[in-house]
Amino acid sequence: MWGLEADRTYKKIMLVVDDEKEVQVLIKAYLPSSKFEIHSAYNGIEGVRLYRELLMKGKKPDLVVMDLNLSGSRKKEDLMKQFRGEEMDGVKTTQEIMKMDPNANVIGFTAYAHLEWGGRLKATGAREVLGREIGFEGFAKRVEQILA
Amino acid sequence: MVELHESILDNLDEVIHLVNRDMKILFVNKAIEKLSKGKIKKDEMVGKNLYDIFPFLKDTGVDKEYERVFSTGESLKTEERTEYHGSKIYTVTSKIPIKDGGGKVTQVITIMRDITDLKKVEETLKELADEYSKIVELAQEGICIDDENEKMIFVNDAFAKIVGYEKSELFGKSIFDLVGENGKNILESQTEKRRAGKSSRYEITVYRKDGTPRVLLISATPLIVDGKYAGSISVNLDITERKRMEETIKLEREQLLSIFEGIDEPVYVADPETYEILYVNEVMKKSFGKDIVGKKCYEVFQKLDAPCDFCTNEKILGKNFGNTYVWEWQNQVNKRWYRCMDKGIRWPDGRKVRFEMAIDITDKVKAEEEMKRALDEERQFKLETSHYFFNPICIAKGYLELAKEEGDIDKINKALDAINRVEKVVKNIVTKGEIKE
Repeated sequence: MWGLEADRTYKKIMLVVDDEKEVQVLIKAYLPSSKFEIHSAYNGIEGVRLYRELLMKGKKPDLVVMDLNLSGSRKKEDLMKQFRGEEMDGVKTTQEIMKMDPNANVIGFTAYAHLEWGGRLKATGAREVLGREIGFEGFAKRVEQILA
Repeated sequence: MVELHESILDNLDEVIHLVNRDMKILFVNKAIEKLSKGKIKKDEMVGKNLYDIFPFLKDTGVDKEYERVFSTGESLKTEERTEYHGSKIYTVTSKIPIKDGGGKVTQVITIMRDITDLKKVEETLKELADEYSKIVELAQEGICIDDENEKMIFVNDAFAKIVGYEKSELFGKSIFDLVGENGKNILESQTEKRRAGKSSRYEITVYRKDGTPRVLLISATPLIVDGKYAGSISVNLDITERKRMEETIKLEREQLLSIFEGIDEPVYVADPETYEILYVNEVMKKSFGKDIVGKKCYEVFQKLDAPCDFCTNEKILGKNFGNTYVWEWQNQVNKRWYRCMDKGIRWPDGRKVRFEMAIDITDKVKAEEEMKRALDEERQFKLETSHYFFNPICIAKGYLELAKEEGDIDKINKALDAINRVEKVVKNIVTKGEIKE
């Protein structure tokens, strides 16, 4: 019991919504498990579901890391469907999470940070949108700053 | 026999009575009862003095008339108006002396005819004539009567005012004296018509006494007496101001159309009630044909059988009159795009009509479409580039950084996979011109 409380007290809870398995792996590799409890969702529906489950368990995520293209595909047709909002992309997922929890702490980490799509994510409520070019080191550093 | 005479006399409409020198009534027929509307009975009169029954006869000098007939022995015919029991009665009376063997007048027979109804008709006719005369005098139109030599024998005040003369100055003058050379030709032709018994209406310029011209619209009718031309009567309307206004309107119309003609874009004007095309400029004629004025706008411009369901008339007419409505539309006949500027304007004849100027924006629309397509392509290019390059490069960098620290072959392989992904995309771009993995 004491151990669980200590775990809850010191570890930051993160939900990473990204369809790229390698990105999920690298985020976990760069953020020490001693400080972060990281939950992975590979599409928007899973992301919303996980956020709800964490809330119900009393484990409200301290930070949600959101990609934009959540198609799980490398085809450009699927990319365009996501971009046009025909499927549950990062923007729609963030909207659903914000509906559930208006105080949700969301940041973007995406290849489209500097495009109109990234702007839409910010307008939806993401506190900032980081581009992939900052690398995982840069990303990890920024996350630690935000959650310090 | 006496009874027979009395019966005949009683059936006459004229009142007949007989008096002696003492003015005693010896006989009166039944007509007196009708004349007095039953107030006097014939039997009550006989044997009485005429002046006792009709005392007012003395006041009106009738007693003197009887004295004259008795003394001169000559008949007398008079016309009287009598107020009797509140009614006016008009009569014509003949007093005829009856003489004895010695030539002395012993009795006078009076025959009195009631002409009240006739008089009333006369009075009504006179009143009507007076009224008519007043109407003629007060009429705004100049009324003029000429004799058979075209000399004026009557003009009303309005006619004198129009031509700027005193009425007295016009009598004996001819309308020929008031016109110029051109006017004289018109008048000669018109006079010929009149002499042939024909009425007509025509316009002519007359010159007032002070020399200023006035345009008259004359409606003239011949006066035919006993089958002969006796002159003419004319009603003269001063239409100078109207003509001036017509000229102004004509000028304004010409100016307006000249402006429309100078516009290099299609311009048309249509009647919003009938959809009839009232005007098209040359540019429009080149596109839709030369003979389209008078045809329906929807038939010519849209090839429709009924008014267009997108007609903008209500946006520029009624309470919106004067507003300009701008809209863009692709004409389904020639497939070109237009920016239409519609406005309700007042046509020179006073009608509120639809004006439309359509600027051909086909090239602009195409350029905009081209630009939009280019922007879409650019956006897609950026998205795809970000998708296919940033992700694998980021992953490769991530693993290489880790491998550097840990000397882990597995991580180096993963980084190489990510780099291979980028390499594949680059190869596809170079060989196929496509961004894909």
